[in-house]
Amino acid sequence: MSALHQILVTLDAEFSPKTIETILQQGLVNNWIYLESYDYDSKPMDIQILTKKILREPRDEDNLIYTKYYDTYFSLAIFPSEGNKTEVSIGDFTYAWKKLFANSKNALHLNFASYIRLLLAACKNHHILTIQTNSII
Amino acid sequence: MYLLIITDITLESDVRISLANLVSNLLRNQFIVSETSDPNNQIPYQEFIYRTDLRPMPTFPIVWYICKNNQWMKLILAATQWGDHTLTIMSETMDGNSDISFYIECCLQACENFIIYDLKSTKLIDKENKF
Repeated sequence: MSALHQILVTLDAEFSPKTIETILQQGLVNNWIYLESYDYDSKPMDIQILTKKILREPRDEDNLIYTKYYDTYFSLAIFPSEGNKTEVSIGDFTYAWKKLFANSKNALHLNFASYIRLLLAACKNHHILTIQTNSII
Repeated sequence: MYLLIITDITLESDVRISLANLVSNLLRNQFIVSETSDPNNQIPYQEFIYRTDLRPMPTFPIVWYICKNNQWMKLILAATQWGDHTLTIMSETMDGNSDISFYIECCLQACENFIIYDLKSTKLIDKENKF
């Protein structure tokens, strides 16, 4: 069984170049690597270039940043809410972290909590107003 | 006031084992667990196990009060009509602070060892639903 997962938080921060850079910078501090594409030989991208890319088409759903964190990959999106607050989402987990749970009947399941904590850690410089996850199974 | 809801939490087929797991998660993460929001009414872990062992099948919803960092929260474990389970943590935010990351972390700690698919937050303005 495969599933698509997404985690979305709304921050108490105006959507602005400074907010975007703060999030991306915190990701870097947390050892996130931003890639040009999902090609695993892809080159890391600079925060200023990424910020410009986000600001150019902030509502473009394809404006994803391919991100590597140790042995897992995911897409990162930063975009404005209707009230111009900043929304941050991660999803499309590749080589996803899985775990054997008490009731998983010897099957590995997505370790969802780890990805939620990953996103919270990147957003730790801002207040989190809402969180929402989506799973399409 | 915020509600944080984990939906589609998967429990053991023997729900008593899940309850023991839930209590174990809470105590390991240094929550106070009580049947009311009174710190003097704490329920020792062995008492939880004793009670759940006695019951052939716990009656849902199960409502407990949990406390961490001096913040009391209401915890509700409910069964849906489809046989799934939801865990809700309900709290008033501290000092008007809008940041809910503390409550998200509380939900995740309570749900360690359970399969979860969804987590969402809801802000309740309605004072009728006061904690």
